[in-house]
Amino acid sequence: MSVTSADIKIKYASGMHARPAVAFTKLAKTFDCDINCIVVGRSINFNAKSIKQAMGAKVRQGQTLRIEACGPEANVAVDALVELVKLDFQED
Amino acid sequence: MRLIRGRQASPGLAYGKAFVLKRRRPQDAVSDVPAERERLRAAIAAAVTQLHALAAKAPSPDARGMLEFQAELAKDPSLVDSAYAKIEQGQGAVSAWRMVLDAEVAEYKQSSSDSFRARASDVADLRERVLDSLLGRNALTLPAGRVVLADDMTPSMFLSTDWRRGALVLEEGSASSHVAMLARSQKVPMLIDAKWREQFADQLCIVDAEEGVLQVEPDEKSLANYRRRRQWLARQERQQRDGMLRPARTACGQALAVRANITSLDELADMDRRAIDGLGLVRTEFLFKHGLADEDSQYQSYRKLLKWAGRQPVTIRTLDAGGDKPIPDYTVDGESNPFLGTRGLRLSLRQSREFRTQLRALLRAAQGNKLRILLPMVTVPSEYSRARRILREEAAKLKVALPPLGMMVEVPAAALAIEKFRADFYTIGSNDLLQYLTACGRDVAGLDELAEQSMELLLELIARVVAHGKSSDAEVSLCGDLAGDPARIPALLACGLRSLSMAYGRVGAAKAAIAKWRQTPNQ
Repeated sequence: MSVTSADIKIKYASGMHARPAVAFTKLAKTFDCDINCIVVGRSINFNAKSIKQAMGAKVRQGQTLRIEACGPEANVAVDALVELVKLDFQED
Repeated sequence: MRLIRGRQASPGLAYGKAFVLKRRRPQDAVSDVPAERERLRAAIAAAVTQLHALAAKAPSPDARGMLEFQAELAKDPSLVDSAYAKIEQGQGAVSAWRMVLDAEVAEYKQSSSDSFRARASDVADLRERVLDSLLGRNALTLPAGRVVLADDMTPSMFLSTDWRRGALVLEEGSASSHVAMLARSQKVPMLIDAKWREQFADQLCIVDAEEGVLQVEPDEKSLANYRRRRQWLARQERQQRDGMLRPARTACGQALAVRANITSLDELADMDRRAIDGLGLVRTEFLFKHGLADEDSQYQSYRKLLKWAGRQPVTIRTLDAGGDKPIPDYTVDGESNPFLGTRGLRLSLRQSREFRTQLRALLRAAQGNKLRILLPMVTVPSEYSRARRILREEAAKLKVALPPLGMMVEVPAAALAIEKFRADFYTIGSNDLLQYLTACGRDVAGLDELAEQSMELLLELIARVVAHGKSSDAEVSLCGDLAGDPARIPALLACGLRSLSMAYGRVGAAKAAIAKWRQTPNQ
């Protein structure tokens, strides 16, 4: 199965801390696919569906997130997550 | 009839059916692996349900975010699977959960970023919430008006119970515990150190706290005796109530100030202003129950207090957080001994922005009133001077007059070196002073005797503070359980104290004890 991937820069001032990370992982969990995130240049990766791991990655403002998905809904998952980061994690 | 001996932690008499509160499950009572797994699963599920319900009615998006964060964390296999793995290795549900969450809290605390570090208290909150369900803490509501037999009790459980006509009998406990203090202020008879039996459940009991006994299935004679004593106590109480509105005077006619301590604004509703000479200690922690409070909401509360008190003096203590009173995002988590940690004024001087906010609210509210500001946990004179400088700066910015600034004397180092301090007034916190003097924790069962034997030393320290007050023309008062204890009042007055502050419920008894006291010529 092919891997879909996209890079997106975190603009949100306090980085991906509690609220943004909750929004991110909650959205990730709605898709039928595995989603792995890599913090570019920091050799850290985490499961996009795990709040513990997403918080543990301590993604800061200015860092770039590579979102890689693999599975039936990989394409739509990556698009949706990129969109969420672009909108500074505003839900709805 | 059976007679069980105990010790009085709060006076009074009660008669009613016994309710046995099951013993806390001992933490090492570990069942087999599947049972512990299931126990943890159920406790996490209960916590998630609670968190979702709380999030749904959260007052702000921020509060909702924090609760959702905790719920997501509780559902995250990356986290909870580590706890299940520990159970497979032979840990009980309680210790498995505690180990995994403690490690998680520690990880957050080590972060170099403030916003991540601040989440440590949310993770700790989740840890406690799941532990609450695992250990059955707070889960239960006690029936009203019963004689409750328990091994020990948490303050939150005490507060959620209707104690009218009821009583509390503990197997352990301490007369200086928080629960004992609550029982005294709510006039709930309470015994400690009473070895009750499970089979007393639903049997009729008399609790005679004055005599320190629990009578199970009393005979006619005991019941008649109970009724007689009850009438006598009621008469005494009536007399005290009548005496309450008279000014406090010793047998030789010397006037004293008897003031009330309060912990929340709600208490004012049940208080008669004429019975007291103002508020001697307003604890402001209630304003910070839901985290840090902004200047305006603080100002509104202080105005309410001052308005209620009218022309009477009101002593408001600045935030005394830390110790057993943590505030998320403010107090220091994970200190090995919080009672000896960064608490009270130590924390205020470190987090001076919050301190300045509270001082500004106080200064604004003070105008035209008899407000006095009191600093908690002062240890050395430089702390007092620093606080005074900050107060002066804020008063200058607001262009308002400086209210008197006093200090609590509750650290032995401050009491011993009191001559070095130049405070506007001194308030002795006898509970903490005794606890720190004797190294006996207030809530530790079985240490009362050590504290009791150190009473003379405590009185020496009190006399020392009183002497310094006299020579520097500063008022010295005492707040703490001693002030409201008729048996102690003669010794306090003999030390030279002329101002006492206590729970409102103790005012009548205290005035009666003061009225009986006569100064001897050598005092």
